[in-house]
Amino acid sequence: MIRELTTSPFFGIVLSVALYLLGQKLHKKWPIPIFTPLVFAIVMTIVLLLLMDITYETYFIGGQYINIWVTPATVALAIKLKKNIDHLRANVVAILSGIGIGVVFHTLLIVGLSLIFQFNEELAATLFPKSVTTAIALGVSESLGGIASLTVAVVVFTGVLGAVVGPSIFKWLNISDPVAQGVAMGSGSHAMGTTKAIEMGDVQGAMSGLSIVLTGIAVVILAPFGLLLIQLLF
Amino acid sequence: MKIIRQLSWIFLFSLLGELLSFLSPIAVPGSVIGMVLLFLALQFNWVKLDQVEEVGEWLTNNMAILFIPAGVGLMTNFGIISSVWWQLLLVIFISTTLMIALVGLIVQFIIQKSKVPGPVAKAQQLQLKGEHMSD
Repeated sequence: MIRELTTSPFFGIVLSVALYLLGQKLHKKWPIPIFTPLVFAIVMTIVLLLLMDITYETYFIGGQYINIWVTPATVALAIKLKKNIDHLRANVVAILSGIGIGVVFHTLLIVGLSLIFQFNEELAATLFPKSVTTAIALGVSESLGGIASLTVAVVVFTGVLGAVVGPSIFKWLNISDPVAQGVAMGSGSHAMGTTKAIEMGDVQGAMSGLSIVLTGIAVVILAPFGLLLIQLLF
Repeated sequence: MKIIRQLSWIFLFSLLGELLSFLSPIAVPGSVIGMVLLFLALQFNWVKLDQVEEVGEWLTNNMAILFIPAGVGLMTNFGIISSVWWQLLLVIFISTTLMIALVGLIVQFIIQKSKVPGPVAKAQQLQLKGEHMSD
């Protein structure tokens, strides 16, 4: 009976969605990072699967039907880009320079830190796309030979962290321009940073949403060079 | 019908993206190619915004839930994580804070430099500063 239940595709689907919704409820009541719905759902699903002695493959019988929507959702980001294109036009030099320099710096930083900590090629490739939205990061990590699921975890953690520390960074460094704040949140901590940026203001929210897409594209463009660098150094 | 029509556009661009990704010599995720193609189609009015908007916004606004299965995959990597977990956390912390700080500083610097600090712009800046401090 239990076997029939867990191997049904609906087992993985119901488990994931139910835990996500529970996370949403908890996060509304206690807005702390562990109750971020995605974080909560991932952690609790893993805990429950381990407790019930169910393998990831069994869970993924249903999980794959959720997973398959990642690509269309990423494609749909084009709509956000289209809607915010006027914001980009108004500050095109500042935004593109910020994101361009930021992404190059981030790549060098990851490669440098990976060397210091003696990470292998696989781990460096896993970390390379960490500041971009999960969907794009997943694709980049896979194409560079990284560990996709670890990339998801790293990206999610980056997002939660960025949303928490972003406002303090702005205060310390006197970054008060709403466009600068939005671009920094979107390019440094993707969708979760954007959630915070929306709370900060409309301009911040729009710029952050736009920056998710631009940073994603920048990382994809930089990926072949990143791969080369990783292959040379590791 | 409307939802199905909107979905088919998005699926079509997903498929095109994956096809081009397969044909492309460098490793670019199909989803990103599909996104760029859809953006171009919207920009040149081959596809109109209201032909994809509702389903597209629904998908992007609820994106987080779609990453659960990929994230749960973490349970198959406990071996690697247990050996490097604190290094990983440190790398994430350093790179995320520095990235946010650097991008914010660059964008603000260029915007302030390019702005002619006339009375209106200055007043606006002050107003924005005030707004930020009040929240």
